[in-house]
Amino acid sequence: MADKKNLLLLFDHPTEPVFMDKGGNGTVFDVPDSYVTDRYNQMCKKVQRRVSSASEKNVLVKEIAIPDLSCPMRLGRSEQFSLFLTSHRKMASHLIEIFTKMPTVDELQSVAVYARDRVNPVLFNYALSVALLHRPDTKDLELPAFAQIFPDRFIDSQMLRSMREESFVVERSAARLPVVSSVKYTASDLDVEHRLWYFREDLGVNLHHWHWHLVYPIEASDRSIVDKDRRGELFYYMHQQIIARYNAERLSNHMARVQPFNNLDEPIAEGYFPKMDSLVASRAYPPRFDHTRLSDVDRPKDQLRVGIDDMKRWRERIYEAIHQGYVLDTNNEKIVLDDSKGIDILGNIIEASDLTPNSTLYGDFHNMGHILIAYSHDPTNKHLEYAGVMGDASTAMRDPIFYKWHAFIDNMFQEHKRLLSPYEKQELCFPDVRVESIQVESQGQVNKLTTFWQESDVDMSRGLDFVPRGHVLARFTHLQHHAFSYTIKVENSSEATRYGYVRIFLAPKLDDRNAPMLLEQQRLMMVELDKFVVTMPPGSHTITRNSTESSVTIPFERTFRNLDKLEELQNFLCGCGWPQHMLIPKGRPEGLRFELFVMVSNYEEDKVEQTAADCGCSIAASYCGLRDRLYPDRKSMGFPFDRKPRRGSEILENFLTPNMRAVEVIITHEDRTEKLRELPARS
Amino acid sequence: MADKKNLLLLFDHPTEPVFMDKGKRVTVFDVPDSFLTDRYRPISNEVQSRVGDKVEQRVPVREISIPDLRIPMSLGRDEQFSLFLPKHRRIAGRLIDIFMNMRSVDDLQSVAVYARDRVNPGLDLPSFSQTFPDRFIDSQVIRKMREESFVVQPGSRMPITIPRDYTASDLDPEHRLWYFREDLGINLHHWHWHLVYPFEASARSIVTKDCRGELFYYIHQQVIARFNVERFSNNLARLLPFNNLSHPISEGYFPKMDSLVASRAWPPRFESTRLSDLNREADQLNVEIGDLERWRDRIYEAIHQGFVMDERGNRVPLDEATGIDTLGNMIESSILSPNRVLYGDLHNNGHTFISYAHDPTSKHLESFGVMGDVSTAMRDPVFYKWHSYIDRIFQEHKSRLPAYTENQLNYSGVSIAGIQVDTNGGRPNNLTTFWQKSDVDMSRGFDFLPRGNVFARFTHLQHLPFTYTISVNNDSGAQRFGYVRIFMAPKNDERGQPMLMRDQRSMMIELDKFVTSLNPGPNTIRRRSTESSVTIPFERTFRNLDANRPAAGTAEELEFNFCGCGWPNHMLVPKGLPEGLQCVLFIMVSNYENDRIDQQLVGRCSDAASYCGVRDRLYPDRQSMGFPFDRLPRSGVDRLVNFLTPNMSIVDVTIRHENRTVQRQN
Repeated sequence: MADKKNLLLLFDHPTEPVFMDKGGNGTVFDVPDSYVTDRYNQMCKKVQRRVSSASEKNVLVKEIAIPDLSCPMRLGRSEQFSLFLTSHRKMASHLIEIFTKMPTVDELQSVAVYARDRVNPVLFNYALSVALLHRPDTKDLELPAFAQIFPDRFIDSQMLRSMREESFVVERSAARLPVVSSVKYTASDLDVEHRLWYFREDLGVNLHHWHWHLVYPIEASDRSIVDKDRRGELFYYMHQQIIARYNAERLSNHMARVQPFNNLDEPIAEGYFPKMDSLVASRAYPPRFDHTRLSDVDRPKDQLRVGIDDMKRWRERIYEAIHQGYVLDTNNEKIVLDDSKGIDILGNIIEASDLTPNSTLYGDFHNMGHILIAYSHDPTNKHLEYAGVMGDASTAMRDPIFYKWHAFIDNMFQEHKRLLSPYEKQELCFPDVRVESIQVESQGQVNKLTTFWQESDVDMSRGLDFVPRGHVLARFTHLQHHAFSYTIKVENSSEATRYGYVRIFLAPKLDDRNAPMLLEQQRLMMVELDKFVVTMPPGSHTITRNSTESSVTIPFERTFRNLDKLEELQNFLCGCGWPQHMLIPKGRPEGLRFELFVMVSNYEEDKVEQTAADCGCSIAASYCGLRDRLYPDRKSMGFPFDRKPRRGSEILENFLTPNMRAVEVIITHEDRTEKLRELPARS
Repeated sequence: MADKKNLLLLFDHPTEPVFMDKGKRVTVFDVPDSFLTDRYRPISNEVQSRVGDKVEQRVPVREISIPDLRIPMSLGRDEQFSLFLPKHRRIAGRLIDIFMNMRSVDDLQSVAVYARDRVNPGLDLPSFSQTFPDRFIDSQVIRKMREESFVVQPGSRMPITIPRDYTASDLDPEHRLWYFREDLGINLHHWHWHLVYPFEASARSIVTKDCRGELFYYIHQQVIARFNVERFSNNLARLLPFNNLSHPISEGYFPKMDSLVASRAWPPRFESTRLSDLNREADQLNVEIGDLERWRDRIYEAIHQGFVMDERGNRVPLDEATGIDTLGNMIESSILSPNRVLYGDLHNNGHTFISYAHDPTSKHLESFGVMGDVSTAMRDPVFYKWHSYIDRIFQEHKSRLPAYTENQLNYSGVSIAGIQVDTNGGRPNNLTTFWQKSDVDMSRGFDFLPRGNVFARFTHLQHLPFTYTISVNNDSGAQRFGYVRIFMAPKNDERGQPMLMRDQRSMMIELDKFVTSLNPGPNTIRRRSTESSVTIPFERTFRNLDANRPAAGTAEELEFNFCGCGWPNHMLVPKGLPEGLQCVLFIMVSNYENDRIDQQLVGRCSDAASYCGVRDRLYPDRQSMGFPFDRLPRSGVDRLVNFLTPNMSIVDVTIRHENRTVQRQN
């Protein structure tokens, strides 16, 4: 019986042949001759003998009859796999089905070994990940972090070269030094947008986005994989929060809020040059020059044909549905866009996922926007070019246009939200519960938070193919902040113990004109920092909570999970979650004024009855939900800021009911780097 | 005393550290610890002993005090080096000076070892396809070669095939010419030509070569003529020159190559990209489109007035003898330009503008595209549009010169009775082209990989070799010498109409030129296509670096570089059409007594003189390059047939392309 943990080794060195040694200890799969690809037919045993002399472990692969893989094999090994392409998704769902239907781990291992050298490596990684995640016998496996398997999607091509040099020249792993990522390599300061490099090109942010889309696939033959609780609403909310966070970062850098890309005929002012090589495609990710226009995409090879006029038609129909308050399903029946389910339906329509009630009528708006942008350099495949970074969930957030596009997508959602009736006082109040005061404390300072730069090392060796084995660390610089704690004083004036749901948000106090913001504006910039349940006995009560406990983030170690520490961490869903080091915006050197908002709502009303999650990974539920469970909050996501404020509360101060409180917090950025040990120069 | 041959090993694996093993015979340089870069100095024992007992040869490197390398080191290790950038040219000049001034081979070896890991690898010295395969082949092929080297032991490795059609699809009509633009040999030729004829050097003698300005005009004129015939071979019209710098460039180009030095892809140019003013401080580049237009207008003014102004305000006439040479140096421009302030640097800046069209202000920290480097520029369709325009300026001058008179063209007493070309076993006056696959060893350019040969198998055009048979009557009664000039051009234009002489002359491609002795009475001259004075054989285009490369900085090395110059023989004949492209073959026998240059020809590799000249000698022809087609025909001559004097002859030749591929037998 195969050890299912060996399945994880199939993720290693994705473009090398399967018979090469894997894992840190040189594990070798004993591949049946009939599984070896033609090129290596004569050679596989010879190579295996070469590597297995040093190896400690051989894994037996049972020879079974292989199901028909012709569908997923239609995508070439070196092509760029994109989840935004319907034809690629179909292949992926076919392969996922094959993997999930294998009766035993043994047989799954056999078919995975066979498929590994034949299907596209990224498609293989995606399908096997989704399959392992949804098979009852493998769902407890901890999958390796995507950035470690495909480092090329996260780091500069020059760094890859240095890592190859380090592995080849220095034989002992222990003597190898980390390879330092250059800071700010994608553009110069002449590019105003480049001030946000640390956000757009952050490893953790991009990994989060990839994981989110892995947990919430758009399409699968097994509908339950797609049809997760409030999936459409979560699509809206997770991306709405990205835009809110991005705008706070823009203010931190003296930039106005992001302009939505709402006119598809206008050239895109922002160019982007990713400077990354795809190891799978052996091609660079294509850039987009400044002022590139979109064109109708007609690429027969990708079975892709979408025009700008299609997009406009879909957009107008979606707006019409929003303004009429209902959508039409495929039988032309009305489905009402109401308070509770409207946003979820719209999410599935706009994205669009398999759950859309009518893909003919409402199309595939958000996905095709990614596609039109990703192919703007070669819309007809005349130049045989692959998609740009916008074509892939693991790279899209690097590009400034991602935010302009999603700002527009968010505008559509907000159009619906604005038509809902505002929350009235009694919906917001928590009788007998008062928030007396709130404050945050960090490094002994009250209501002052500090950000700075930090260096961290991540092992990337598993994604370096055709180089000698052993660890190679990549050292990169990212934003960090001093951890802080919230202190919330609440008064329960009732006679009984009450349960409160504490909701913490943060938004800039002043807008891009440096003027105080109306709540209607400010609510769109409210960044969720935390949400948790508290028990409040009668009387006064002080709640303290650490920033590291946040329900939106996962700790650094989980963002960059290490396969060697397999036992410590259990659940795949753990990879989803906003990176802890990006919890708060950068702020300004002179300090940027923010409003911290805390609300304690009645947990009795908000709670969702369900058994507790069966693993420790409920930590980032706000943006990622709970695995196999309902979303742990009965309120709309983003509550209480997801709707227009009620009449009379044009500014935040007037919005507050006794169970809410706001306080000004200053975020100061110190332009210093917390360095790891100094490294010698490379040349 | 160091063996100077070891210096050659420093070219191998250009981006690997110097202490790594080199060469086919495993050789290691014993590098003094103080020469190691900071990264490797602390673990010097470990890395220096890395190759262990496989070492067959150790080369001691003497520890000397190193001259100041700050200027060469000011170009980053992983930046792209371009000869079109003045700043980079200065940096290269300084490094060459340092190398040339070392007193002994020992010292040269020491400083070269020290510099190797510190200066930009492209600077080091001439590179070519085997040390920088990345400049010539698809990045996906590079990856497959990496896999082959890593997984398979030497001996069992198979050649990696470079796909034929990887840069674009048939939707792009320009892509029909991939085999020309992306030919390894053509791009190597272009690189070598610019190596032999640099436009700037601190030693003026390196630049001041006989007729260098004229040769610049002529080699590029011939490239355009050949490209246009290839266009006819693909049912495409002649090039439109890129003559309006404010117009978008409709042709896009996506090179799909990675630079192994920069670890960056060569940037593409999207379709319909416009040029913008350049303001790139890091490259010390601050040029406007307005500057280019100003230079262009002044050059035209000089041509129309018949003189240029030198730096002291003196008029230098653009006459029949040296006018074209002056213009060549002025338009390119080289340091021989009579007045760079006035006439600027038009051709070079055109390359620079186009190569930075994607990031003119360095806002995105992008390096230049393929147009910025002579080893890659010919891949891009816009290269030909730009040079077509440059050629138009030269032709403006040529069209103002008096036409050759019958007297100037004739060779009294000598007449051609008949000409014919034959391929082995084929019908007379029919030429055949096809595809051929050849293997080239690329392993020396693959860094950080197990050693051993890795071959790239690429597809290129080829033709059946052929023979010219020329019947010449010498009625003068004495022995005479003739200069045989062979050209070919299409018969009809893109509209299917017979070509007028004035158009056809600009499509005349030179096939050969040689001296022959003519006995009194009838003579039959036979000449093989492989002997052509424009081409070099396949083996020399892709010669083996190990086998016979002389040491760096020596005279032999300069000769060696020179030997790489020459049009690749496999591209001698245009592709033709499956149904046959109708061409006219033109042969002229001129009076060698009038044409000869009295000089002794020494040294090797003077066999591709037509496009490359002869090393350290005068250009071996007193006539203008391209003679007799470099000027407008005399009045009354509309068609080629009217142009002929008795010492000329023409014959119709059909070039047929067979769409089959054969493997070269080694």
